[in-house]
Amino acid sequence: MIGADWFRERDVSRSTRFWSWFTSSATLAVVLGIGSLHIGPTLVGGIDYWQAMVGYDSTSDAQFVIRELRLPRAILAGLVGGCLAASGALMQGVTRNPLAGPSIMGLSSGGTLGLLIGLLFNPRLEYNEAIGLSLAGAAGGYFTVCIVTLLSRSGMTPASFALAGAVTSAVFGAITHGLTIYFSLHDEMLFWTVGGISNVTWAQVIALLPVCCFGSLLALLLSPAVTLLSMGEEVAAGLGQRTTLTKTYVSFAVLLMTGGAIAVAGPVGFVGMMVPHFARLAVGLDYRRIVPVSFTFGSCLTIVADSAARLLAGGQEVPLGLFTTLIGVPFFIYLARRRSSVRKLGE
Amino acid sequence: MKLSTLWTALVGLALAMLGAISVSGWISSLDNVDRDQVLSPVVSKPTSHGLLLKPTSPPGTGCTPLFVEKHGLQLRIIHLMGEVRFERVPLRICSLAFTDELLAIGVQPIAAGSVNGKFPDYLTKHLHGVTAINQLMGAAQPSFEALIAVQPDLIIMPAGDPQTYYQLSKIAPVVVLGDDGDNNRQRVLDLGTLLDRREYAEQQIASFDARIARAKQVLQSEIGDSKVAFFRIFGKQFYIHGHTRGGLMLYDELGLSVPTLIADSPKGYMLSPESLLQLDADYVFVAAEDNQGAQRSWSQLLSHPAWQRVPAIQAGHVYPLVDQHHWLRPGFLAKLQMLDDIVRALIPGHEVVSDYGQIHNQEIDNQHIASDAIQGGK
Repeated sequence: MIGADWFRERDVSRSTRFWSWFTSSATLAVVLGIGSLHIGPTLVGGIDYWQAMVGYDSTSDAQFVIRELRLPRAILAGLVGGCLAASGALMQGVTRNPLAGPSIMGLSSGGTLGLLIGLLFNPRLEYNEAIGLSLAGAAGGYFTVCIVTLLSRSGMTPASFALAGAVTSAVFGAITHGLTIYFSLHDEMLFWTVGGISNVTWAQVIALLPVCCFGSLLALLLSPAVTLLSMGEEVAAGLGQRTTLTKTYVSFAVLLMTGGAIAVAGPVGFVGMMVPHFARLAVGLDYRRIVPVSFTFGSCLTIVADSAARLLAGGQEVPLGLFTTLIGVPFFIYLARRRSSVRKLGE
Repeated sequence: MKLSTLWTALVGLALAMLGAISVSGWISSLDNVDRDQVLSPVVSKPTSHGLLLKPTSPPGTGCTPLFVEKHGLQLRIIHLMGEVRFERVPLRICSLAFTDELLAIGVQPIAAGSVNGKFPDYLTKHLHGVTAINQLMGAAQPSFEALIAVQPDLIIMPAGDPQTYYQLSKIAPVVVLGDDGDNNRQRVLDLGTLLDRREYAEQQIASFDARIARAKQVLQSEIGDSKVAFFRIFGKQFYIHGHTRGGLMLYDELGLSVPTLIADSPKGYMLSPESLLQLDADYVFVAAEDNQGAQRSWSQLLSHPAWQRVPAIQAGHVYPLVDQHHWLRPGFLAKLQMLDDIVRALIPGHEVVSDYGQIHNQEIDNQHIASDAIQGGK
C-alpha cells in the first residue's frame, strides 16, 4: 500500500509500476522458495544446494531432502498459490464481485462432491482421474451458481452471485456430508480433502504443471477481455465483445487452475479471494496486470504459509490451508468493513 | 475511519497468529485416535506412565484396585464416580469398555460397546450373539435405547463423561473403571473380584506375565537393542506411536528399544516424509487402516523415495498388520495377540507358545491367518 502511494506521488507510468511489482514479487517468490528449502528437520548447508542441483549424490541425506522432498514441495506450493490467486482474479473481474473466489463461487464444494461421486463409482481412483473429477465437479458447482443467479429476479448482480454461491456451497456441502456418512467414506475423503502438500513428490508436480501452465496462459490471453467485462457487461458488449463467449472461456481457465490446485493440495482457503485485492492495490484496475501479479503474489503467500506450517509445529506438519485461512479471515472482515465505510461515504 | 479499520485488521491478524500458534501446539500434542475417547475434565487421562507416578488414583483406575466389599452374596462397590450395591453377583453385563478384560476372565457380556455396529476385529469371534451398543463418541453417548432393550444388571463404563454416567445409572448400576487399555492386570483383577472369578483372573495374569517374561528374554537375546517402531496410517497422515497403543506393548511390556524420534515426543509423532529420514528403526510394524484412503497413502508411501532410506525398509523388516484393532486398543487379550505378532515377525521360526486357556487357543487359529497376511505383505 505504501509502495502504491510512492508510485502515485512520483507519477511513474502504469507499465513501469506493473513491471517493478511483477519482477519484484516473482523474485521474492523464488527467494522465499529457496529459503523454504532450508526449513525442516534435516540440516542442510550452503554447499548442499549447489551439489543437489549439479552433482547429485543420492547417499547424502541433505542433498536428498533438497532435491526429492523440499524442492517439489516449494514448487508445488508456488504453483497452487499462483493458480488459486490468478483464477480468483479472473472470477472477481468477470462477476464484478470483490468477494468472489473458488470457495465462494461453488468451485471448492463442487470439486469435493465430484470427487466423492467418483470415489463411489470407482474406489481405486488414480491421481489424474481425481484431478479430472475435481474439475468436473468444480464446473458443476460453478454452473449451478450461474444458473441460480440467473433465476434470481435481480439478475447477475454481485450480491445475488454471492448469495447463490453461498446457497450452492451449502447444498453441495450437505450432499457431500450425507453421502460420506451414508457410505462411511470419512477416511477416504480425509485423504483428499485435508489441505496439505506435505507428501508431494515430483509425480504431483508433473501432474499439475501442464494444467497450470495452460490455465495461466489462457488467463493471460483472456485478461484484456476481462478488463472490459469488469467495467460492466453493457460496456463490454457495447465495445463489441461477445460477453457470453468470454465468460465461457474464463470459466474454463478458472476451472483448470482451481480444479488442478484443489486436487493436488486440497482446499486452501482464501488465497483466491484475498490476493487479487493486494494485486489491485499495487497495479490498478487493469486485469492484464492484475492476473500476472496475482499469480506471483499468490505464490509468495502459499510458500510463506507452507514454511510457517512446517516451522511453527516443531517439525510436525500442519495443513497449509489452516494458515491461509487464519490470515484470510481477518482480511475478509477488513474488506467487508472497508466496503461498508466506502458505501457510507457514498451516501 | 481508515486508520481504525487498519487497526482492527492488525489486531485481528495478531489474534489469528496467536490462534495459529496455539492450534499448532495443540495439534502437535494430539494423539489423533484419542479423538474417539472423550474424557471429562475432572479425570486426568490415565496413561500407564502417569498412573504409575500417581499411587493415589481413585479406586478402579491406574494401580488402585476397585473397592469391593462382600456380605454373603451382597456386594458393595466404590468406584471412581460413586458407590453401587448388588444383591448378588451380576450376570447380565453390558461392557461399554473392558470387553477384552471381561473375556479374559471367561465372561461373555450380553451387550458390548461397538463402533458403527462392529466390535474390535480381534474380539468379534468371542462375541457371537452379543448385542452391539453403538457408541458415537467413544465412551460418551452410547445408544441408550439399545441398552435399555437388553436390560443389563451391570454396566461397565470407562472413566469419562459424568453426564453419561448419570444417564446410564438410571438404566442399571454402573461401575466406572479407568480408561480402555489402562493397567490391564489390575482391571482383570478388579473384574475378577467383582464377578467372583478372582482366582481365575490371577491364573490368567500369572500366565500372561510368564509369557511376557519368556518373550522378553528371547527378544533380548535375538534382536538386542535393535529399534522397533509401530506406525499407523489414517487418511493422509502417518503417526508413529510412542508409549501409546501398540507402543505400550513394544516398549513398556517388552522393553524393546525406542526410535530416537520418540525420545523427544514420548506419546507419538506425526511423521512427515522428511522425518522418515530421522526414523532409525530396524523393524517397523505398520497398521494402515482398512479403507481406500489409508491404503492409498500406504501405497504412496511405499513408492516414496524417503521411505527407501529407513533402515528397516532397506533390510526388509516391515510388517503390515492386517487385523489391527488389538494394536490400537491394548487390552489384556490384545496384548497377548500382539505378542504373537511381534514374536512371529521379529524371530521367524520361533514357536509361539500358547498356553493360556481355551479362549486363547481359539484365538491362535485365527492368528495363523493373520500371520500369513503379515508374512505375505512383506
